[in-house]
Amino acid sequence: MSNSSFEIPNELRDFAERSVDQARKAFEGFLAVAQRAAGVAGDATNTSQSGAKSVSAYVLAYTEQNVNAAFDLAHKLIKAKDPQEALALQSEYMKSQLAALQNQAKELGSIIQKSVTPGST
Amino acid sequence: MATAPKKSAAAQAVSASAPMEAAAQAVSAATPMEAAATLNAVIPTPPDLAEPAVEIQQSFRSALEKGVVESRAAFVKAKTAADEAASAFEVSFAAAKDGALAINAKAFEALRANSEANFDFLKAMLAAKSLSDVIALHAEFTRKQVETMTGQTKDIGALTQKAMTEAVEPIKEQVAKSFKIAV
Repeated sequence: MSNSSFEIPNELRDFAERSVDQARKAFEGFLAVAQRAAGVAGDATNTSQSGAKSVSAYVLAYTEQNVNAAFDLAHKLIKAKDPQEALALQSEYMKSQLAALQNQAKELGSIIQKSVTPGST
Repeated sequence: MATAPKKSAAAQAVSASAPMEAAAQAVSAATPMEAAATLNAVIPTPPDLAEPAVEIQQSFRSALEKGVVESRAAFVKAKTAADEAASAFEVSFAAAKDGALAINAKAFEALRANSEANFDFLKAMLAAKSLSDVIALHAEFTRKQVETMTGQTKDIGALTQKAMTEAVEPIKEQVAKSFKIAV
C-alpha cells in the first residue's frame, strides 16, 4: 500500500501534539472548577440535588457525543477517496473534538455553579 | 466473494465467463492506471496488483464499514443500558443525600477517564502511518469506551445502592436488567 502521503510531517505533528496537550490542560482546569463547585473536591460540603443529578446525566451525554463523533469520522474515512482526503477529515475531526471537549468541561462547570449558587433553587 | 465489488458494464460483459482473459487484456491496456481500473472492475484484486490505484479497495472498505457498524451498535446498546440505570439513580436520588457527594465524585471520575481516552485517541491518531492504523485505533477506542462506560455505570450503581439501603430495590432491579442488556 502506498500510504506514505498519509503521514503527517514532523513539525506539523509536534505542533498538533502541543495543541492536544494544551487542550487537555485547559480541560483539566475547567473540570477542577466544576468539581469544586459540585462540592466533590476541597472542603465544600453542600451539594444540590440538581447539581448531582446533572453530573451523571452530562457525563453520559458527553460520552455519547464524543463516541458518535468518532464513529462519524470512521464512516467518512472509509469513504475517503485518497490519503489526502482522509488526512483532511482526520484533522477536521481533531479540531472539532478539541473544541468539543473543552466546551463540555466549561458547560458542566457553569451548570453546576448555577445550581449551587446561594439563592438559586 | 459474496459481496462482489460493483463492476462496470463493459468489464462485466467480459468478465462473466472469462475473468482471466479480462485481466490479460487489462495488462496490455494503454496506461497503468487504465490497467488497474480494469483489473479492479473485474475481480477484487490482491493489494500488490492494486498498487497503482490510490483508491481504497471496495472489499476492504466494506469489511471496515461492517466493523464500524457493529461497534456502533455495541456502543448504542451500552449507552441505552447506562441511560436506563441513570434514570433509576435519579428517581431514587432524593433518598441518597449522604451518598450524593460520593456519586458525584464517581461521575467526575468517569468524565475525566472518558475525556482522557478522547485525548489519547487524538494523540495516537497523530502518529498513525496509514488509514488502517487509524481504523485500528478507532476500533480500540470505541471498544474501550463501551467497556469503561459499562464499568462506570456499574460503579455508580453500586455507590447508589450503598447510599440507599432503604430505597434500593428499584435500582437493583434496573441495574441488573441493564447489565443483562449490555453484556
